[in-house]
Amino acid sequence: MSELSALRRNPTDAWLNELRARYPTERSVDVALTRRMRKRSQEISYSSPSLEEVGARLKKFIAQETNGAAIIRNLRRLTGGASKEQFVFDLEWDKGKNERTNEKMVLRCEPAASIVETSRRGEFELMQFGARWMPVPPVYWMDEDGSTLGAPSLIAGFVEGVQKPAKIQSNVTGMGIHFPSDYRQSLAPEYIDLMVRLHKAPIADDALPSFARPSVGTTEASELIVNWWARIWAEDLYEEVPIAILTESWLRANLPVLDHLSVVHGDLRTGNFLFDETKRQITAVLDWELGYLGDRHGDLGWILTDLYITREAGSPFYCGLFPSENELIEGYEAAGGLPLNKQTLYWHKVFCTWKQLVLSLGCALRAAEDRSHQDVLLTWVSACGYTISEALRRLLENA
Amino acid sequence: MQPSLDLRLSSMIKALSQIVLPSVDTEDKAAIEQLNIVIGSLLLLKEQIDYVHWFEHVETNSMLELVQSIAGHIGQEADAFMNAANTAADIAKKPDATLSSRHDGNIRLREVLAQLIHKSLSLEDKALAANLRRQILKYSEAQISRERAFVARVNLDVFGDNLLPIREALVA
Repeated sequence: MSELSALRRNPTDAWLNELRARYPTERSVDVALTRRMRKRSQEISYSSPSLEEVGARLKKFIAQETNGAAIIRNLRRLTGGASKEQFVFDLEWDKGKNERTNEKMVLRCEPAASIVETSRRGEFELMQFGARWMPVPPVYWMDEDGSTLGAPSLIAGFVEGVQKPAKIQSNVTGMGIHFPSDYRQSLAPEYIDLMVRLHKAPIADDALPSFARPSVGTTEASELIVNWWARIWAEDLYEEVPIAILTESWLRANLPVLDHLSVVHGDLRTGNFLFDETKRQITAVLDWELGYLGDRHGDLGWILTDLYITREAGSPFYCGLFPSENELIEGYEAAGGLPLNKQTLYWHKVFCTWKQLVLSLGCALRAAEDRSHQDVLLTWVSACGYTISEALRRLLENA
Repeated sequence: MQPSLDLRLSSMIKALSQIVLPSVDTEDKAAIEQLNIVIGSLLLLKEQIDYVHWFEHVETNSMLELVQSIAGHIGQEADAFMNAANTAADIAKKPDATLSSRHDGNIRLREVLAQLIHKSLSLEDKALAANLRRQILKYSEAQISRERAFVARVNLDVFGDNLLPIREALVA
């Protein structure tokens, strides 16, 4: 094993501090990444807690948060998603004054290592913010350090809905969901509308206190996100990837200037929203943990990555919804969205594709080293790192 | 030597598909999902297993070629890079090397290549840096093609136009 490989497996404080200095990120990202690196050298063989264990911890936590008057029923596991362990349960509790209610809830927990390590507090704040502009599961409580629930966790209301049309097959974690035209007619405009609202939403001075606010008129927003994912790559990679080196170099040489500060969801793809199958309306936007304050082009760049292309009669559709980049851009601007810059959008498409490479060939494999509840799923999906590499090669050839 | 690796893999796949999977509680979606992935992973291994040594061999030679091509342009440190690359390659090429030590040698060789690429990207001669960048892109095209071919069965590839079978990707 090379020295660098050994350091990635058992990081020293000196090496970790070197990376933190080389890749300055916003504070909540630094805290989450540093915490996970300090856990890495611990010998952990992770297995999912039993439902009995989860139930006992949940009972204690809910009692603390609701002054003991709540009743938990029907606790069971939720499948789907490659990042967090999730459980669903029914909670009878006093929601407000004279308002005793029965509500279905979701408990989201971090395994020992997750494909993405992020801040529960940040996720909590983003969901509260997002809920003012679009359907988002209501968040109620969080155990930020996991001292009661056994892992950093968050509890939100359960929202009914489906990820995909009933007759459509998809790949794991909701990738590859294609929407037939009758679904696209309703869902695509609504999907765009939600994005427009989020990106234009005013951000009060005291909102989202966990997040850095990069300055408009500078490249700070772009630098922060490049540093975020470059640090993760430096910490997680198993083998150097020449196309990743070329990509990072290109990104840094072409940083776009921020023209408007927006809340960026960071993972706004199909599979991360639920919809009503009958009404064809979006019922919830999920998975806010990769969100940040920055450039709205980031959300559109994510949708336009090649990994999420689906096909209908041989024709490609971005995220199973949009037959062309122009249709997405025109739809966004026609819906009242802030103007989009094609060069900036291209940069974000490259950035998002590179982020996907880091997630698949870095994070997924590290988490799969006996540290998650679904190691075999993570090693399986890591294979998409190679088609992502091809996407990057094509993007850099055309840049 | 019997039983062959192929027979062992086939028998595992059959047992999991025909005996284990039908008996799993249909309500346990996580178990079913992971079991299907295990079956798929064994099918993938069955396809890859004949080619893994060859894959590492092609990796070593192609990286050495690129290192040689770039090192000649970076001045004084060229010899140091070539020595480091050859040391790593020697690990990968040892006649009695196990697969994991071949792979380890190639990881070390990639580290040398990465340092060299960083060096080439920061050359003051921008025309030369651009030319080297084009060479690295060209190298990447073949490297990525091999990697994609090796995992094509996972069915996550989105570029059907240039996805090759494993053997063709290795000889290309």
